Amino acid sequence: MLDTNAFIQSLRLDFKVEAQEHLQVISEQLFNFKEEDANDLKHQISERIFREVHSLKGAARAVNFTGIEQVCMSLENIYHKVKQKQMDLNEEIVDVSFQVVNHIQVILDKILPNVDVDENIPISNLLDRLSGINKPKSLSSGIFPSLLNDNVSEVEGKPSEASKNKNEISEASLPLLEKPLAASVQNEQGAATNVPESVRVTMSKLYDIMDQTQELITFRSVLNYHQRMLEEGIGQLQAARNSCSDITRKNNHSDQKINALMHDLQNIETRLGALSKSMFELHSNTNRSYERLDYELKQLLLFPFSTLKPVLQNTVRELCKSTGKKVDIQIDNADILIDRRILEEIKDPLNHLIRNAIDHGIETSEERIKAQKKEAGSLSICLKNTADRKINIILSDDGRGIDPEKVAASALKSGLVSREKLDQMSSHEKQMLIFSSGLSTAQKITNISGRGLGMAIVTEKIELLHGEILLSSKPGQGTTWQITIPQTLVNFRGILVQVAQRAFMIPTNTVAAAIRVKQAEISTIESRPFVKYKGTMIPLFWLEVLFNLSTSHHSAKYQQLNALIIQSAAQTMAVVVDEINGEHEGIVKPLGNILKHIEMIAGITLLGNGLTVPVIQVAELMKHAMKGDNHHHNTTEIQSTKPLRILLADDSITVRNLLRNILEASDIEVQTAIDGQDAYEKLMLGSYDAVVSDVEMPRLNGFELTAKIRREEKFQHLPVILVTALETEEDKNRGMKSGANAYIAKGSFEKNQLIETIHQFV
Amino acid sequence: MNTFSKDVMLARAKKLAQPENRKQETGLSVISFILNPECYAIETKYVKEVFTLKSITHIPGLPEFVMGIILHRGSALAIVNLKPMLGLPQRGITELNKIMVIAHGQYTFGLISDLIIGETSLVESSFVAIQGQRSTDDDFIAGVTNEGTILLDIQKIIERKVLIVDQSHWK
Repeated sequence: MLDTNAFIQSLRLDFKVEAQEHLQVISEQLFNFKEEDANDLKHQISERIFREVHSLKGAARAVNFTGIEQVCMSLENIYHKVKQKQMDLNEEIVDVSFQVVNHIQVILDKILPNVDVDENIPISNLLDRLSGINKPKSLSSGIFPSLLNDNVSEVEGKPSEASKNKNEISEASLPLLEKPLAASVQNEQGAATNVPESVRVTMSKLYDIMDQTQELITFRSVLNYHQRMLEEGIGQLQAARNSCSDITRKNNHSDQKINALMHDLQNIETRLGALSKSMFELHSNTNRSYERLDYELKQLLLFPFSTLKPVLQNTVRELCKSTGKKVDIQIDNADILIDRRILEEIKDPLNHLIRNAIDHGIETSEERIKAQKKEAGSLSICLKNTADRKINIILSDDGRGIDPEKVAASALKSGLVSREKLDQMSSHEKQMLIFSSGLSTAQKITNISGRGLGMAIVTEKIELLHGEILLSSKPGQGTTWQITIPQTLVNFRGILVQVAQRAFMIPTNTVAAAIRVKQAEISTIESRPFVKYKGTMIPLFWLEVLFNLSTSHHSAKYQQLNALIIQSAAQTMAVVVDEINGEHEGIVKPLGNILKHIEMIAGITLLGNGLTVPVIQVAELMKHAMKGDNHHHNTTEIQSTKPLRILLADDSITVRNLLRNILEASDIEVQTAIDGQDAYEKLMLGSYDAVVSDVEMPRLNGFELTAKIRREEKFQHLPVILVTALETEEDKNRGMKSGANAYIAKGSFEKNQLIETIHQFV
Repeated sequence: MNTFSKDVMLARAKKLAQPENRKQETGLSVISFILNPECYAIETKYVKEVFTLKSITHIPGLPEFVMGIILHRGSALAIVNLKPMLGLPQRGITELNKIMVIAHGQYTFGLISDLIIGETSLVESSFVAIQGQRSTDDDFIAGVTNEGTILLDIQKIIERKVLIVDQSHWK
């Protein structure tokens, strides 16, 4: 039972793809329909729709979607009658067809992997409407029966022409999906005769391949890293050999055996050198292949903007119906290609702008006539390629425009700006307030728009795509939005920052500048810190405070603070971080399917050295900063208390993190080391109040580390605490003998014990 | 082939051709593992992969039961520690670095444990009734064997969506 269920589910996924194509063709045909068109054009349209509906019906039956099947059958009957000339294709039929398309689309959207779809949306209304149309109106079919018969025989009399027509249509309306694929999948040599020129590939398959390709970035950087390490090793070998030959020269006697050994070393060196060279070549070849593969894959995902046309046209149509306004929509240069994933993401923002334009911008017919405008409002979407491989989408309407005073008034009402600030604003600046969250100029909230989140979401979505949105609006004349988006998904670029010993990535497109702030340059307004940037005072926040990270920080140590100026949705602020570590390129991946949304985090990205780093969602970070009491970072307090610094060595990442969390929770600063050797090296470089170490570690174990520490004069009195799984008396004795101050067994470990032990010795 | 060995072969073949003894229970295939100090098990069909954790990325704002994220086969995998949910003591340092990739429906996550014992099979008769006070986490327990192995109900855990984290405000 379960298996057949799973089988139907997988079939339904296929059905979704197929049905989508049928719906697309039907919508296109419906949009082609104009009441005043010649009859044979209408006939072609109904012919085409009839066939699509018929196939859709069959497919729906195969996957047990009886609702869809019923609706299709009813619609098919109508088109059958149209074909038989028992009925004319009219506005009403077109309208009900749209209704059917929308209905099926709703069900299709519910089909997802591993989801049992319930297609039982009430359809009785729709079916009633369909059968209402289906019933022949006795008048129209009754009066001219002879005429109808004549027409039929005429069409049947020219079979050759009809079939020729049919061929033309089907060729012209090949499903859009296949075009870009066909172009790039085609065999270079022109393909063998029997090989089909295009193949059907599901998007999820393509995305899988993309993911796998991205994985290569890691291998590429690992290869690079290893090659550098090898090079370094060769250098050390060379240096060792040189000092060896220096010694023999100084000692002034040459030993046959040593000479032979030196010769061997040189041979090894040469061989390693060759290995390093071929690794370098491998790295650059990998690089080239990757770049090529990445480029080709991105080409596969390019789709014409026109794939969005039906959706957008449908929005306009629905809105005209519900508002009673008349609007013509014109879409130019819709053949421009854009990455499908970007198209998917830009759909909602465009729909939202169209809603706004029709709901608030374009006036009713009466108002328009009064204002001496054309009766029907016009909405145009025009695409342009820019010089830097980006796409401009210009959406304009000829409605009443955005009234700056209205925007200003509601911004004042919702407390977004003060009156003084408003008085200084130009009218364009006032219009720009529309991008702020929580603002709506709508007098009343309609179910279409006016909730005040809209424009903020639009901006955010576009920023996530690394795009930009500009507004220009002349009151009384209309509004124009210019959206600039990349053609393909650009690899993400971010600024790597370090704060409280954690790394974060801040998207470069939100960063305006990196600045250094002296303590003296921080001024407080209403007890909140501000800093001057480009002549204005902007609020200053500490990233670690925003993320509620451990409060033991080091920024006070520095005379100057590192800060990034970040911007989003027309707001600017400065965030203080410990370190700024340059710009990196990568891909932002979502956090995985159980973490739907984590506040202020957009995803994770992979660095060249194999580390994954969380990427900050700047819009949310800024929102969080503005709403809460996150400003306060009591600078004086930091300077007065100096936290303990502990060096922590353990080869297990989990244990390291566990201990670090415990220590940091007690305001102790922690530096971690991955084994004894690493710990010893770090100890030589920094200054620490105590060492906490595991016993069993590679390279240098805890006992050896302790012994080595005790051998150094300056570390004679440095407390060393061993934390270990070895619990026998003998081990304990050995630990004490090596010079450790305390010995804590992992099995009986408790948080307080460690902290108390540390305080006991420091 | 001599007659003797032929007879033996025939006898064996006959025996093999017999239907299996139906009385013998067919067990439930599970992967058992340690979450100190207890022994747990998960049905094998949910476990896609097992590996050792090498590094983990911490993300601020995660609930206690998500330790962090790793990049695994090109996508992010959240690492879930069931200890707080099962009311297990956080006392004692444990390795806690063995990952099982658990998948059910559209959800995938990494479940962390101290030690993965391996695949075994649990027969129905070995389950015992649980008596006495039950804590809230009992909801996620499918049963306990007389050896004390606790069988987790992954389907319930996932379908109750207790592991799903969604902090978005625009809903």
